[in-house]
Amino acid sequence: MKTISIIKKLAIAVCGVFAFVLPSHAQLNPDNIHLTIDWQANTPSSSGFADALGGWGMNFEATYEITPSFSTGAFVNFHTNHDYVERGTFPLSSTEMLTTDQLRSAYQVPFGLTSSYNLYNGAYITPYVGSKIGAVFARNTTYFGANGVYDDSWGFYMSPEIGVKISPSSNFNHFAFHIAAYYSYMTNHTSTLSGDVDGQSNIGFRVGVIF
Amino acid sequence: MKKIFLLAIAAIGLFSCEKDPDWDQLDDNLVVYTDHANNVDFGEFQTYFLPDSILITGGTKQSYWKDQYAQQILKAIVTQMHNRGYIRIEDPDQIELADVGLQVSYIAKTTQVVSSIYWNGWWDYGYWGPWWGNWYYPYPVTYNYNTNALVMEMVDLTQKVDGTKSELPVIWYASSYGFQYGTGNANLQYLLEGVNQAFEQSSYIKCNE
Repeated sequence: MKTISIIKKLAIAVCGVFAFVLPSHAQLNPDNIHLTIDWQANTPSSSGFADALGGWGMNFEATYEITPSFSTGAFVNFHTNHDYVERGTFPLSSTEMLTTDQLRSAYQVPFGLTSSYNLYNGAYITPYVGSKIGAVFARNTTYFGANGVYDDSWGFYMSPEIGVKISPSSNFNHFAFHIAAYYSYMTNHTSTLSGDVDGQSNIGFRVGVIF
Repeated sequence: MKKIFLLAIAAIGLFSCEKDPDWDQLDDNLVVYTDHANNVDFGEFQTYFLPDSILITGGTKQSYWKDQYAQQILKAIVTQMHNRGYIRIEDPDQIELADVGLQVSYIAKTTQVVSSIYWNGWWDYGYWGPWWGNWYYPYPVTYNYNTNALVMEMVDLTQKVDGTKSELPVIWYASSYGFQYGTGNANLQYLLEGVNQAFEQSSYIKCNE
């Protein structure tokens, strides 16, 4: 019920933003609609769970240029991080002990609302600051021996980012390269074997294209 | 329209994008788990009895494992108990002199998987072009793998009450389990390491002497 509540609030927030923005732009200009497709590298930085840098992730955005400097829209991305934990002995309770090595896997799918503000509208280079806010599904898995345990959870997601759009021509609306660095925080709680996660920060970067 | 198409392609791929880890990173050693009754002072015990065979269980009928491999496992247990100061009662007729008993069981299991559903395999479906989704088997595919477990249980024989039939408390439980690598020496070494690790992480098993 808590998860449904978060998603419902998020959906209302997204609808609210568009309801506020769109009436003043009843005539949507297709040239102002952009798609962003990025490859991303990400590392969980605070939980100690699968915190090795990994490049198995992508980011997708569909945005609308409300003004020449301000864009907003929707995003979804996914990422998987893996980490190997050397064989060790650790307690499971006051009387239980377990000895094993572990493969930890952290999968996350955040989605929601994205917005960005151009700091400078150059002919070729456009630096910007942006933010993402929404919900995130996370599945953390610990594999050991012939077994594995996983825990799914939903949480709240927020992520500030800085980046730059690089256009090969002065006509920015058709195609540009995209580079961004981001920080994100997700409120998910998961518990797998010895790897409990209670909120998680991530840092990473993205490289992609904007159509 | 083109943009919508691109986004649709991306969205289709999104939810099958969880990357499996490299399983080869996991070592071949067995997972060793131990637990014990927290109200028992293992230092008060002095003697123990260990049968000369290992119970093979988990199938339709039980049998006893007595060959040289079984004897090596039992010998490893005897060595560990000796190092911790316990004296073995070897004559079954004197079993009532033992403070604790050790029962050892072995479970081997073959898991057969029959699948005709989507398979998260090694070849990315994207290799064959963006117009393909997840791939599947239109016929059943089977594969199997073998696992095994060695279980050691210590029972408290000092709690008996003459003239009544009491339940026998298991005061220590240890299992070493994982993939089975044949039935020869290689697999035996993993089982022996499992025995030693079980005692290693159970430092409370030590006679006061």
